[in-house]
Amino acid sequence: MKESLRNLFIENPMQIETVRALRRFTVAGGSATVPRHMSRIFFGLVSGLYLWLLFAILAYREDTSLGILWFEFVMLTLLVPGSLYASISGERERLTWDSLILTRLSPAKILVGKICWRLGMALCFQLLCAAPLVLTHAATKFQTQYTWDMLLRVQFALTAWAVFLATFTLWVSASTRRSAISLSIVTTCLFGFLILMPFLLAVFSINVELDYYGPTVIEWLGSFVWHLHPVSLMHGLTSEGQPPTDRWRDLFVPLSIDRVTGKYTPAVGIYDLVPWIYLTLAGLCIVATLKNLTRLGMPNGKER
Amino acid sequence: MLVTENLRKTYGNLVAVDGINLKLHPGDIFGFIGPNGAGKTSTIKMLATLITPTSGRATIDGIDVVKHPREVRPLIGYMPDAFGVYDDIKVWEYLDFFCAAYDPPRESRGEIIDRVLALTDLTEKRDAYVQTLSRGMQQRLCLAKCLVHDPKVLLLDEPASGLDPRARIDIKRLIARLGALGKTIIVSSHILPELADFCNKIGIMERGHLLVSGDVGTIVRQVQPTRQLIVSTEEDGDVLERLLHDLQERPMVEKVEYDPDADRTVCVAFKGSLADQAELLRDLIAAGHRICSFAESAVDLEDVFLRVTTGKVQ
Repeated sequence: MKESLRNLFIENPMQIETVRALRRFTVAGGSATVPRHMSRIFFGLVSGLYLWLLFAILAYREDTSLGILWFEFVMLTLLVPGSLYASISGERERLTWDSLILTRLSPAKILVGKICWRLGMALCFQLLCAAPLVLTHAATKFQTQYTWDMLLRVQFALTAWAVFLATFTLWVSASTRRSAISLSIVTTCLFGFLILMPFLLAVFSINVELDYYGPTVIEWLGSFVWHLHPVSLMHGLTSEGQPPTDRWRDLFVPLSIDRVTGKYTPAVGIYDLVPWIYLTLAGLCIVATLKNLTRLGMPNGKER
Repeated sequence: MLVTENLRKTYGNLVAVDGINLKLHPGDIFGFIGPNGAGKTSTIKMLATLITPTSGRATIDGIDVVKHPREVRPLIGYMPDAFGVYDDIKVWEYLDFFCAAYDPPRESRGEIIDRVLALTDLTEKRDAYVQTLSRGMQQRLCLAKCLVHDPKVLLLDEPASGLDPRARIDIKRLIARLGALGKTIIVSSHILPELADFCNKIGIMERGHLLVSGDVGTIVRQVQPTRQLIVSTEEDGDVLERLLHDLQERPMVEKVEYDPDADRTVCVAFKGSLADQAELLRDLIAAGHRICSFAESAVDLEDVFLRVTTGKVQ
């Protein structure tokens, strides 16, 4: 087991992808590489903004946690698919795929190699965002919209969201021949889920909080899908979240109230399930990607 | 080493490869000649386990390429006609990646890379970024990549296409060197002189059919039964006339051509054996002719190709 994991993660030749990715933004030269002065400007801007944010939190002592989480969510949603959409389809476009499948690399090694540094990058970004979050808590003497517990839940949910996005994008990339097509599929799906779905729920006046008895199936489904939305989760897990009930639809209630003390306490509501739903979907995407990679590695895989 | 039996590939109504039979041994360099669209790439891809034949069978080292593609792959090195390389990595890293992907012992990887770099004359470029290499060097790098796992069979699809003459000569030498190492090599090209120098066997393909295949000499004999002898002499005038007459009188000589512009050189179509050829030379000298040179002209694959093929495409 230990040896298999070592082979998959440490001894995996596909980890060269990490080296390539790092070089693309730093030392290497060539047509496919980001020009050095551009990468310096980019990193300079990002570092400047980051330092400014830390300074502003300390100077103004305001609760910026929701804003930081929003930023984190938006960046993860852009960065992860943006770095993965061409990972397999790009190999086929660049005519390197045939060479790859003729080696002894297993589909699992290819998948891990492709996904590892991208998720690593997402985690690093989350860690970078953790510093201003801690700072904003300290600067406001913990008078923020989020308790520590809630904050950890949101972070976990965002990590799960990034994992799901990564595996979904990889699956799409392994299912298409052209990077442009995989990018458009992923973009359309994200647009549909993140923007169109809430819009339609609003248009059809589906009450996403189900604050009355006897919801229809459509209302229940609408509410369920809305609660899967990362933005819903980010906003729902604040201390101004939903008032508690003890009915069956408590599944959709993120907080429950201690009837004796009257304080909000975390409950096993939908938001506790959301990360696990993301991770389950990610698991399904991994299985589907492995199947696709196995098929692509067989003779005629590209023809089918 | 490499055997195909009635190998056939169709794409809908199009018959790309129609019942090819080949038998190659270690050290054979088989030149696949044919116009674009003849079916060379489809044949090579079937042998490389990248596409499945519609019917027929192919084995490499006794292993069926269709039934056991994963077992066959370590035995082959495949260089496609159009290939890509990973950018943002160095030459040695690129080779190390492919070497590691074939799972050899970790400690031997450095040695393998050094050997392959030396074989392909890329040692000096060891630390260069792949994308900075010229097209010819990338071609050599691609070939080096095919060699890191020491395959028994090399499938090279148009390895010299798009290269300048010097790079083309380098690739040819390299392939000849690999053949001498005992590897079975299939190399396809539509440029005939490219293959004539170093292939010991050739196959001419057109519209999916393998029209002829076998030893270069045998095929040339089949298609062109007479040898072309080039005789140059110092003589002119009547003495030259006498030489032409003497040559025409010989029983094994089919035709004598003299081009006055070709500086006293006579072209002789000779159907005798090598012994007859030696005898002819001896008799000419004995008859007092001043012969400067007497040689069989190099095998002209172009002629063979033109006679065998019809020029039709699918």
